[in-house]
Amino acid sequence: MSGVTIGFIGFAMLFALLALGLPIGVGMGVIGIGGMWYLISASAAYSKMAIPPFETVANYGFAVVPLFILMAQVVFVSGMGKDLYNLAAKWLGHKPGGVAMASVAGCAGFAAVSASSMATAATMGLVALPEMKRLKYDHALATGCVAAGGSIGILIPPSALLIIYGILTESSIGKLFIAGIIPGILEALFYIATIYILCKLNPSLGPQGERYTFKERVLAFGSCIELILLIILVLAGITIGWFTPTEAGAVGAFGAIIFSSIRGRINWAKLKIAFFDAMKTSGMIYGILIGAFILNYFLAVTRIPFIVSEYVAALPFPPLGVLGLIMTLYLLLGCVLDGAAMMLLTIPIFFPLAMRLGFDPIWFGILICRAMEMAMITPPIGINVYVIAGIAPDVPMEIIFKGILPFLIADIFHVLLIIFVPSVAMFLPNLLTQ
Amino acid sequence: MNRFEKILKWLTHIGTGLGAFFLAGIMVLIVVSIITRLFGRVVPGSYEMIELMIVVTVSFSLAYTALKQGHVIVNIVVSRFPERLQSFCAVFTCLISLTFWGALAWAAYQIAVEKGILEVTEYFLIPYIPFRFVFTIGLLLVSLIFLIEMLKSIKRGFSK
Repeated sequence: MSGVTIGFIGFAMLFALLALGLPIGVGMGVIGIGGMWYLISASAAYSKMAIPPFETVANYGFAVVPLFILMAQVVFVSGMGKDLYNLAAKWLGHKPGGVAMASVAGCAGFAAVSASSMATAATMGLVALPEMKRLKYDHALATGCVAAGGSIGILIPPSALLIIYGILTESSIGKLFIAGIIPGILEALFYIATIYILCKLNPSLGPQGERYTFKERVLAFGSCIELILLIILVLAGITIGWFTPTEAGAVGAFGAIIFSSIRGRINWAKLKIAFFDAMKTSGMIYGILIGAFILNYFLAVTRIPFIVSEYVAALPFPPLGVLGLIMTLYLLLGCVLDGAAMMLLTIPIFFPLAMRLGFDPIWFGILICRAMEMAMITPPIGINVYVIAGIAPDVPMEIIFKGILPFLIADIFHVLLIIFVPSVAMFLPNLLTQ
Repeated sequence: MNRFEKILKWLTHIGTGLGAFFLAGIMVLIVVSIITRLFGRVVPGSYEMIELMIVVTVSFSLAYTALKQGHVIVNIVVSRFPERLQSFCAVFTCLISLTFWGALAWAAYQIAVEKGILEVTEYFLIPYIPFRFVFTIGLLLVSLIFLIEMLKSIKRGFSK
């Protein structure tokens, strides 16, 4: 049997094992080792067991993962994320659908300290959903806007998925982060516009909240001024080149601990929770990374990435057609796999193809993350939907998915904008390269 | 088994605390190196120290994630199976997982012994071997946690 055949059999076995509930990192590692053993030798398989895992772990660049996760955990346990919502609610809450708009704005703000979409949805869900319930918001709009808003966490830096993409493709994580800023902000604006249109058509969906005086609104900045400054410092630091992404993660985590301590928002017990939760999430990501790197060696031996890119490039489709197919495939894969696993499994195959088609690696990375954001809110998995369902157990899952539908339509327009106007993603990175 | 499980949990918690301590150390070291850089100085060897410290953090984070059952799985298919079949699948996947992590631990140990004290960092000449052993311990803990999970699943399967 040829290497390609073995490779495809390996993939089929991998999906079968994952369906049986095998941890994704283990599945990738086992198929990688087994495949190397079959195609080359036992000693080749042994060397891939012995060397890449330690190299993956003892890596300065990858330390960005636990540091940014720690930053997000500190902001989460200290409750500083809620202040961002309160700020947005004071400015927007009095408009029709205003609290929903504030939730999306709060999600965008929290996304700037969080590397995870789930954490963003959970944080904003906990503070915004009770408020929307009090104001008698439509359940579908209330839950849908927070689930969709949470997905912004992937695009606005720091982003765990952009970090993984950068590691896998050897693209600049700093550039990826910068490229995610404008699309992330635009995504939030698209969602806010969606809420505006929905509430304009049917004002009962989102009744108006309290109106605050201008002084009260300005004073609301005071409660989260440090967090805003920290976000600006981290993003500006990466953008201007003061820090590497790993250093930015350390500055962010350190700043979050200092600021929350000064405010009296964190104590020893909460800090311990933040560190242990950061350890748990980091272990989850590294577990997949170790398996993925072993699998990648096997894939390279099978030459599948090369052959797939040759085959697809020869198809009578324009590059944008191929891109459309890739995006659709991600949406389908998102029905059964989580974002990190999806990326680690597919990027070794799709990235060479994208490069062959002449796509910019940074732009392609933003689009891939955008597709994953959509996958996080589409049925049947839609992980953010499960997070929101956990916070609002009285709202049936179908209602949440119904509430997400208008935001998915907004997502399609947003993705088309990034595809046809690449400067949306590339303006900032290009500006800095000049 | 109860005692073995307790010891394993205790060891994992101690390791996780140590890993968290090293994570804090990495954070502080990087911040200090940025501050000193502002004054035109560098913290010598900080890069290699971080590469060693992160080994402790990640090794035990893998074990802690396993203990908290945080490794990513797809349960959309298995959750539809009858309970007994679910237990069988859990035994099967735990067996594969413990073999995989156990094999990685064995390979990590072999490499640590093979490289010995001759493998050192460039600036401070710190030997890698203690960190390779920490990595081995972390992987071994993950493997043992899956062993406990497998035994529990067998027990659950028989009790139904």
